[in-house]
Amino acid sequence: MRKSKLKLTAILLTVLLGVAGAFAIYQGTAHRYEKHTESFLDTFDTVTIVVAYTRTQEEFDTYFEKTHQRFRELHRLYDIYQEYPGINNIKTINDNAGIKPVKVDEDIIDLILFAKKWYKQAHGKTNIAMGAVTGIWHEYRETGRNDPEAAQLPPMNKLKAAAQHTDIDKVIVDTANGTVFLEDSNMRLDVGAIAKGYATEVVMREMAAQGLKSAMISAGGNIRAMGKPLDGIRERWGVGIQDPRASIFSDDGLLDVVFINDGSVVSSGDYQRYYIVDGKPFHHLIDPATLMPAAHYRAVSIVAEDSGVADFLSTELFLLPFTESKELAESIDGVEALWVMPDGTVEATQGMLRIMRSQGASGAKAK
Amino acid sequence: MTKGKYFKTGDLIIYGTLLVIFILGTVMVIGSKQISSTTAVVTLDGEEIHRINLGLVDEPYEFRVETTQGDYNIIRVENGRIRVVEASCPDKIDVKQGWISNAHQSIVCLPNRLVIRIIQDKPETDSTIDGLAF
Repeated sequence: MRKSKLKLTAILLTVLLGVAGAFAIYQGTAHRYEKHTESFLDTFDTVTIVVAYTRTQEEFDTYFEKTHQRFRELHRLYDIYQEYPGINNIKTINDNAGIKPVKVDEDIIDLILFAKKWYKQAHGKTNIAMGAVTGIWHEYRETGRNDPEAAQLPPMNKLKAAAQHTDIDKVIVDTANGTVFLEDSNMRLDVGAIAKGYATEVVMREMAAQGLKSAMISAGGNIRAMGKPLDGIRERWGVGIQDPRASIFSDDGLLDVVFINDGSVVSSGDYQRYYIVDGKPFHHLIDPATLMPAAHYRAVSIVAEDSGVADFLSTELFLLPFTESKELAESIDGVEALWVMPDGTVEATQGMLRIMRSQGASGAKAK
Repeated sequence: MTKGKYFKTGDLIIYGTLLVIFILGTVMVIGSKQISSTTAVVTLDGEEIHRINLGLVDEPYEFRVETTQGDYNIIRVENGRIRVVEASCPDKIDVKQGWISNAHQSIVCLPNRLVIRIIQDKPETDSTIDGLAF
């Protein structure tokens, strides 16, 4: 009696185990999210890579097309060099400086209000009204890159004259009428320090609102991640940070890897855009105080939820001396920073250390 | 005689069932995991034009990619890695970049609208890198 009962239990257990096992395997394979990756090259002069976990290829293709479409629109609106038929963009605002207010899309109004707000909130280094100065640098850089023999530095008197026309309070935004007006006829907007990151944030939020759950957009190295990777294995995305000391062309080229969920990783560095004059590199991150490229760091990387904020702060912190830079980073909730000093040493906020691979973090667990 | 005690028909059924479940389970788990391989995807103007399993390359070879405007890139493939060796673009950033072989790496030639991307068909791990901040 007792023996057969035991046997029955054993058989039942076996069957149960078998069912549980089969169920586990079924769960693992059915309705699985697949990782898809696709890129486009026609916005913000860089490559944009979209990574997303979706159930089907069609689902991914739909989100990818929408993302591409929105990036194209925002690229045109935020363009300072080119005109597009039927569109008023930042160039249109610049062309009408001192002449008249220009009626623009809400996406432009929002970007400019965002830039003004953060300019006041931070230390006033990242200034979209600096276009007269950065425009001169741009011109000399382009000439120098196209013809290295003829590369020259912009004359300081020319830069100083342009710097007289960079008062951000003279950027007049009329939200009721949807217009932007530059009161100073010599003023030019340059949104290069924020446009890419801001656009990435806008698009990612729109995709989330439309149902995308797990994705990462890299707009030329400006990273915005959403949710977590739906591979059933990991809790966090892994984002490599380029080592400014190594050539970007080295085999690995990674300074470190940070692991995040909903958030952005954005770097500003002296290696990104530069030209050589008399054997010396001059990069594109211009300090409004000296009107020359800032030399406090090789690179600064920011982790923050909002990609526009991360983009703004990566420039702002790059342009500030270390004490002020660190204070600013620590004063804003949810913002972490990493600095690569001129001698190659790395400084980082406490919160940054907690998510770095070199400090033991991984994609497995969110600490 | 005493052995008979341990191998009765009922016992055999249990052990047999367990064994079958174990084997089936193992086969299914192994089967569901893809075999690790590294693939290079070459796109021109957003269109995929080549997909190369870099793990299966025995002899190194080169091929030429040409745009409709007559601009070109010459791509070299070896076992496990890929690079651009020659290009018509002025800055030659793609040529200077050299070899790529890891999943987070890509070569971009903006003037010719060429992208080479590495895809790793292996299960994700805790150390997977999804993107690169640069």
